Amino acid sequence: MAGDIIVVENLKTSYGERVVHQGLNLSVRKGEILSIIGGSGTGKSTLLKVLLLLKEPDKGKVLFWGKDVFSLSSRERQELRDRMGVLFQSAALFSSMTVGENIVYTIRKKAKVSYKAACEMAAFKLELANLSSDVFHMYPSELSGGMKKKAGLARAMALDPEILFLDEPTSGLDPISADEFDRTISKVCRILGVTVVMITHDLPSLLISDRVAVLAKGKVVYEGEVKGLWQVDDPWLKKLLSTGRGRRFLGGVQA
Amino acid sequence: MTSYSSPVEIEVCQEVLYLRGCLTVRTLSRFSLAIKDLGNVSKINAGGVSFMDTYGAKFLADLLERTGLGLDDVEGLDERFVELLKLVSEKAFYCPQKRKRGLLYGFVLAVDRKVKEYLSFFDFVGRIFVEGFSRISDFEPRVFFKDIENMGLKGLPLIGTLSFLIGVVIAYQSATQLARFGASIFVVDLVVLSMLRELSPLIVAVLLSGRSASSYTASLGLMKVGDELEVLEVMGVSPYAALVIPKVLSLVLISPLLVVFADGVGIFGGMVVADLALGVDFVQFVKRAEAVILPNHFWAGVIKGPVFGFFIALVGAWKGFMVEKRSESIGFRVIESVVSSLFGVLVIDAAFSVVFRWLGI
Ligand SMILES: Nc1ncnc2c1ncn2[C@@H]1O[C@H](COP(=O)(O)OP(=O)(O)O)[C@@H](O)[C@H]1O
Ligand SMILES: [Mg+2]
Repeated sequence: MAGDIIVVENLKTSYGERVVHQGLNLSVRKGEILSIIGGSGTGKSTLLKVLLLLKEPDKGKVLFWGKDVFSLSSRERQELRDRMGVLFQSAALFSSMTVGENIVYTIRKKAKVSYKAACEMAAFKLELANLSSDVFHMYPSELSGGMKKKAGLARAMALDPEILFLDEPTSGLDPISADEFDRTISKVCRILGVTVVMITHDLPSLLISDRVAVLAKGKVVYEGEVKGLWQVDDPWLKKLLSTGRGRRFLGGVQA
Repeated sequence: MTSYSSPVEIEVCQEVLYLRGCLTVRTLSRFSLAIKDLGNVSKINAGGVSFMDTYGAKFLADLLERTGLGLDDVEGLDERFVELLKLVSEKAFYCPQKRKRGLLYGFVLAVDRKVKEYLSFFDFVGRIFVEGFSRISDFEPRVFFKDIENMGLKGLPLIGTLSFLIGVVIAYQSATQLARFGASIFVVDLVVLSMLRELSPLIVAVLLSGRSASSYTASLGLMKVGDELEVLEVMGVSPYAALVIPKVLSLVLISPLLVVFADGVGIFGGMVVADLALGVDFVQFVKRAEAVILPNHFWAGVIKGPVFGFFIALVGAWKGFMVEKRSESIGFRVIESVVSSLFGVLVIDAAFSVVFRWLGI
């Protein structure tokens, strides 16, 4: 489709003998929030690694803006990566720098701005991520898990990426913070026109998504609107939706 | 795609500032340099802005502040960018200042921290004896045997090579001098006594500091960073009994054996050189050695082994427990553990010399 900025075709990936994806297809549309759900170990994080060009697939194609990324030169790949922001599952803040320095470093690597301007921008991004300015001079080891996630989001957004990848952004957050986090992502990304690819275990997070992709047995077994989820014939998904959280969530979708 | 590379233009015409192009972090250097003297501006026309991100919005917000205009004075700006501009202008770009400390205060603080760090060694040793030994049932034999293998057996080739070479060097260095006085046979005294009493224990200590202290610090440090030590604690397993005591015990047990091994190989190195360069053959060498060596000389060296091993393992484990959750912390503590254990070993060795002299050994 013309509006697709990422297209994954017939992907096969493996770690040595262990095949993770087999014949996986996925597309991401411009400006949408796409959630990827699936049981633990179904290869969500691995898919993210492929999309970030950190892992070469065995077979298949990954197209960004219509270009096959694994045939690009290393410079072109980097240019592509400069347009992405990522929040890894473990936040992955640089532990030897303060939170502020983490963001300032990211900004100053790519943008030609003064140190002071970068600091101000970093403070602004932290505020966007709902963190108080107190954390600016704190080290990641002094933060709680949820605060680390927020700081990681601020760093991922530091350079106003066009595509934002989030790996389980709300796991480890309390429900209130998780809701806040979801709201922040949806508000900021819609204003900035960012495309979001979000891996999640958290059903309420689906409420902010435009579409959802379900990963199972190495494939995307469903890709489409959230409403269509309960017509999908997948044992894991059926189980998920029949849990207490699942039922409550469905009520929310239908309401 | 085209919109991302369209040029930025800033132009003032009859008190209206025209802003055109793509204002993003990538084009930032072009538009932030373009504003110098604006003159009088009473309105901003942003109809030509094709794209804007937070950097562009911040620029526009700063521009408004500089010209003393408000949001209403911006016309023609695309709907979604207006929202962005509002977001940027309502948030404070407040970057808290780091608290600055006086130089003297900083110095005192650093000294205080260092002193406390060194004092914590005694706390650490105390915990091993009090907590570790009272919960000795947590002792992990696997750790113990693994360390015997890694620190003892796998260190043998290196210790062997080193002590052989040292034996060769001592014999060779003295060869010309002794030959001149026709006292070649004394090479035996030189090699045997220096190896037994001083050099073997030191070779072993240097190797243990380099291989074992560093490894203990790194592995315990990584466990500390990953909260593994806390998990043990919560499980009711004492990390001191489960990890530190096996590590200390393994070094204490293997180090005297390593010293004996180094003695043998080092003296053999001396024998080879004595035979080749001084014409003192193996039989003469052994005869002379039997006459020279007292049990005291042998034991004086061997007894140093466990003391060094004990100290080195303690320092390695102690520094491992001091690792913090920062990437450079582990490297820093490993350096400290090697340097401190080597330094400590030399100090202990000096103390041994004094004590031995005193006791007449
Ligand atoms: N570095 C690795 N080496 C070998 N196998 C891996 C590695 N990383 C992940 N795997 C395997 O790949 C599968 C998918 O892992 P992952 O993508 O992390 O799952 P998810 O994020 O969906 O929980 C799992 O079965 C995991 O065991
Ligand atoms: Mg994962």
